[in-house]
Amino acid sequence: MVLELVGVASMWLVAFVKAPQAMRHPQQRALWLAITTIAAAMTLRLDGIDRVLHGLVRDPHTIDLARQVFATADAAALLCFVLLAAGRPRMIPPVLVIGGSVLVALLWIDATSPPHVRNVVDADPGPSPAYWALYFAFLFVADFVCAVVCCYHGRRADHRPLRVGLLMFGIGMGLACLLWILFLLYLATESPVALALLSPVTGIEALFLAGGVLVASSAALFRPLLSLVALLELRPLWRDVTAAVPTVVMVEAHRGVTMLTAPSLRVYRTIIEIRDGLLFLRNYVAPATVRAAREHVVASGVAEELVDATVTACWLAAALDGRRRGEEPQPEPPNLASQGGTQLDAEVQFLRQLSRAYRSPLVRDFAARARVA
Amino acid sequence: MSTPPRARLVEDREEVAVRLRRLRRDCRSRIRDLNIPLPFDIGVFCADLARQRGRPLHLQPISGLTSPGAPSGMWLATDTADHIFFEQDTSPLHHDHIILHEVGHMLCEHNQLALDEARTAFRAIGSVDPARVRSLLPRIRYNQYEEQQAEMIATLILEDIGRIPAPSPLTGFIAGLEAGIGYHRSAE
Repeated sequence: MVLELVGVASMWLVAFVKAPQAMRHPQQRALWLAITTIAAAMTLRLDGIDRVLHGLVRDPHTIDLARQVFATADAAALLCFVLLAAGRPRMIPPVLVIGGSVLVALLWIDATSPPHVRNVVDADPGPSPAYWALYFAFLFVADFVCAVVCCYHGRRADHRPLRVGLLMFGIGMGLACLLWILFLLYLATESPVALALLSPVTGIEALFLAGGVLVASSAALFRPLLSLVALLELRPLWRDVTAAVPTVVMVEAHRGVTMLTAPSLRVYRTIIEIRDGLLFLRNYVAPATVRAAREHVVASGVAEELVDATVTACWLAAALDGRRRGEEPQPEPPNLASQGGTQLDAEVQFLRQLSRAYRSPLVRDFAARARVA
Repeated sequence: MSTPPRARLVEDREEVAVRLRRLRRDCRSRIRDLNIPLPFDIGVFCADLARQRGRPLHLQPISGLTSPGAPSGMWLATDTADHIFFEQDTSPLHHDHIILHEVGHMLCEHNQLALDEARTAFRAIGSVDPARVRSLLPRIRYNQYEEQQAEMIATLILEDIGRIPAPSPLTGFIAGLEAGIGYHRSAE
């Protein structure tokens, strides 16, 4: 039961955090819809929720039907996800028609079955066997297709998070197939073992589905968080550069509080303002200082991939000192063209290295020596 | 009764926030119809913009443009073509930003009325020495709002592009699954 509860909570968490992306990207809507409807169907099966709803609606039959409508909708959404991935969007309307027909057929069978108060496998009497046959067959086919596609093609993914995410999602779908088999087994044999396994299998299935989507989309989901971490790291460097060259700031902080709220926009502005500041401040460094900075950094045994950032931090510290002391600009500023990258991520990475180096004892030592010289 | 200082601070902040929102909305509407190539390439983008405007647009890299008091980018419009001069001694992303800032001036048609033979915009960093700028480009008439518009346009375009995943090298079913599950591929 605890496993099932944790699994369902994870599914809702994924549905919640993926919602903005699903709104923006039509290709992600099918999977999001599937996750949300699976979460809704699983929630309606939870013991506590079941009791609360019975108290509110006072018609358990309607609640059972609603659960099965959600489950049928999730199966149709999963088939749409597979068809979109296969590049066959034209097949989506026929699949939706099939899903709708299954739903209508289920409601018709339910209405024409002998009188019953519940639509659950252990109810006696329940709806006619044709109801369960159609319901489980449709769900099984959709989940099986999705499991095979995700596991088979997921292995070919070139990036680990994508590969692991798709395999986890595929395994989750495989567990859903197992769940439907357990339901059918219970219907056929009334095996208490099958009944006891329903809750843990549901929980593990939900954890695999939610985990798979989270792992595969982690880079997109955690981007705002990573932006905030980058901002924290770039802040000391940005503060010193903009204090020396305040005109590079596009939107000034209002009484110490920034007016830019979106983390990605703040990171972008921080990068551009530091870059503008570097362009300006390089005029306060003599070529001899840059050469001395490189010698100092190489002699200190700094890792090769950090040399450029550390050298820049050294001459920047010296330039800031020079500017504060009111020195005259130099006629030959150093070239910065080879540093950083064409992409935002590469630029963030370089400037984070620069910011870390800027606060290091190695750079402070260089700045102190440059000041004395 | 006078407004308490705390309430005044909140009102001021609200006023600045409204101005900023208006600026963003205005700049968004100006870039809405732009054709932005993916993956982004500033050369392709400018060639496309030149076709749209029916005027050649030449990108002219210059080294050492940003001595104190000088701009990092300039837009020069003649009767027959547009020229964007940009500081090349910086990172590629920064080049693109400087060029897009000048494109921002072009899109907003800044100073169109003030200049007849040649229109020029500049992206300044540091304190610009007006005498020096005037000696280089005698007809600069930009106010703070116009500079903010151009800077916001460059920011919005490149910040948007930075959030777009890098194109996938995968093809077929796996590429569809990648897009469907929402995998964000970083540029390598």
